[in-house]
Amino acid sequence: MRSISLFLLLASVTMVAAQKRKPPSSFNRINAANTQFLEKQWWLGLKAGVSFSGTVVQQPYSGLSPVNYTAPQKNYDNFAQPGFVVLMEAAFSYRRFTVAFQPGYRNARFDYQTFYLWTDYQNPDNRLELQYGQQQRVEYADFPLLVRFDATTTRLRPYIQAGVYYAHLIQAAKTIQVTGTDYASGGINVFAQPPVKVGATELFATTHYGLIAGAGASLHSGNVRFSFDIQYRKGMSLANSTSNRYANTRLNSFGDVMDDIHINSVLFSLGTIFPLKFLSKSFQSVTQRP
Amino acid sequence: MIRYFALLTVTLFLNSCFEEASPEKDKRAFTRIFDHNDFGKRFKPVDFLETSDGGYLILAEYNLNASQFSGIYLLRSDQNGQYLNGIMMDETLVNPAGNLMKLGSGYCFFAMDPLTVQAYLIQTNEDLTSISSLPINGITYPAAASADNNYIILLSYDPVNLQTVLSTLNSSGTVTASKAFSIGAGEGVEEPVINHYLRTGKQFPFFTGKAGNLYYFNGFYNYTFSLVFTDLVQDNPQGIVQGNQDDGGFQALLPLQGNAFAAARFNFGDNYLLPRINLSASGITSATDLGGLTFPEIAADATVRILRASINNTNVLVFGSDTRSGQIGLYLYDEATGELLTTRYEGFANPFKLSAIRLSGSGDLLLCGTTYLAGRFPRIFLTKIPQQELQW
Repeated sequence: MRSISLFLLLASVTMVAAQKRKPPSSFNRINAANTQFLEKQWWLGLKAGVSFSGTVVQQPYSGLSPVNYTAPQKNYDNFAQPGFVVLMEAAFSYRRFTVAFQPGYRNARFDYQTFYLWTDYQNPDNRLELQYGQQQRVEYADFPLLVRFDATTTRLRPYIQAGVYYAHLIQAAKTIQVTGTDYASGGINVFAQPPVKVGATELFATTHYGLIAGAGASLHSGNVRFSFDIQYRKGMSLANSTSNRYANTRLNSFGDVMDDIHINSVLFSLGTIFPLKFLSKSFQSVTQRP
Repeated sequence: MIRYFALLTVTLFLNSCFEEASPEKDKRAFTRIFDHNDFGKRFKPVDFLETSDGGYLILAEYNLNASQFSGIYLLRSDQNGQYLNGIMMDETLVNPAGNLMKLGSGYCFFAMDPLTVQAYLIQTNEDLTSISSLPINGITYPAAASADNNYIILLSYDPVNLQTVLSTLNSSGTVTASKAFSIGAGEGVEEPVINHYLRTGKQFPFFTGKAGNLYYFNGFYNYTFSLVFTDLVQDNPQGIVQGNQDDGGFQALLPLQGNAFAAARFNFGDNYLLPRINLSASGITSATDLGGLTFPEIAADATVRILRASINNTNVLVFGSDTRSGQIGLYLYDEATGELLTTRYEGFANPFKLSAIRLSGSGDLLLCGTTYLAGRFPRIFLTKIPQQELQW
């Protein structure tokens, strides 16, 4: 919810900036040749940045089936752990519109905790509080397709964008950290067991897809464009494997199984793209020739 | 038109690639741990069965505050292994003895009165809404039972005459045949037997069954834990495979064909699996002479269960036991050749111990036992392993 609000705010700011239509300053002014150069162009570039991921639970699952209390739900820490994203961009722009294909690598990290309490019915002072902290690190090869609209035709161009993506799982791992407080062993013992890291690729869906909305700005400088890009990716299919939910016997022993989840991500990236048309032999754009 | 068709095809293809919530997959495989939030409660399954609605009925024991014996706990789950309801019976009947057996449209098992130690046949319906108990005249300390068509074979102990008793009962709980066999004379001879019932000593793998026309039991006979064959007519056993006092003998036995059995034996803490062994149902032989495949990874005196199954179109024998590392080891052997096909281990971090193995109606493997939640709370677990996951 927090991320959606952030996205809407950024999109609003971009749109407002686009609607003001102030005459271009000398910094933003583009001559006629440059306009021709930018009107219809192929681009190729590279972007890198950070991602923050969160989950939307479609159906909760637990390996524990309590016989005398309600099953505890997982508490997710959404958009708290930074991941890394790097992507290539191949784009075609026509006037203010750009169609961009951005294959890349993304890792999504998200945490959740489950809390348990056992109390001695004969002596309520005797109890054990236990918290299972689970950190997921999932790596994807992403294949997004975006349509972008430049709000202005100036040198600094705010834009908005929307599209779809297809994600292919590369690998995944989980780290489990058990912490707790033991009130039943002659004192108050706060303990933390060493984290256990296990491969968990089989627990995630091999593929999933989603929708993208975003905004950003590009700066035309020389014959390249620099860009700052924000994308909100909303997962539309399950990111977990329903077939292999119980396949990891190590995790089963903790009573932990994956919920049915969609993964949403916010990506912040910086990048540069190069034009592929109207270039001279010295790799200068036609507009830059003396 | 062709363009729309291509778009539709691509859309359908992509849809088929993505995961969707599936109730069918939820019941295909699972591991479920049934937790109780009482710090002091300890649960241990005795046996379980798949019910007619695809769910599961688990017979277990739990620790009683007011008795040294174990209480009776019945738990029912749905086909996904999710807890539906359960009954924790009070201390008027204790020490549930497996097997849990199907009897008509209901289920039954044995237990005993903690004061008179008289055996009771306890019957329940599938949803645990009706439970009845029937005293069995002349039978005390039930140890193990198995079904034989419409009859029940019951192994029990007579503390007055220091005898192991093997009986057959009809579905009404009436004893139709019975023979008693001396465990030996002397004061100390019954100590391990009583400690078994009080759960304060070694837990012996008592079991009963029928091979051909002979009944058999695994229990104490003539100072030794032995496998004894009897026709329940003659006073003396037809055959005896002697163990080594209370330090050796059989852990599990499954009749295959004629004199061929699949078996597991223990000897001073060592464990041996015998995927195919011919046993003489007459005369006296020694279990120690049978050899077998030694498994140092199996914990001393661990429970062993043997299941006959058809997996991936192969007749296999599934041996299940507890390993020294706190896992459950599954060892699959080709029934025809005795060759090891594959192994699989269940559990990690928290210890897992096996109580029973069953085959589901769909031919998948079901395991039930105890796991120690947080490393300290003994709780019942139920695992379903699809046979497709058992590859070799």
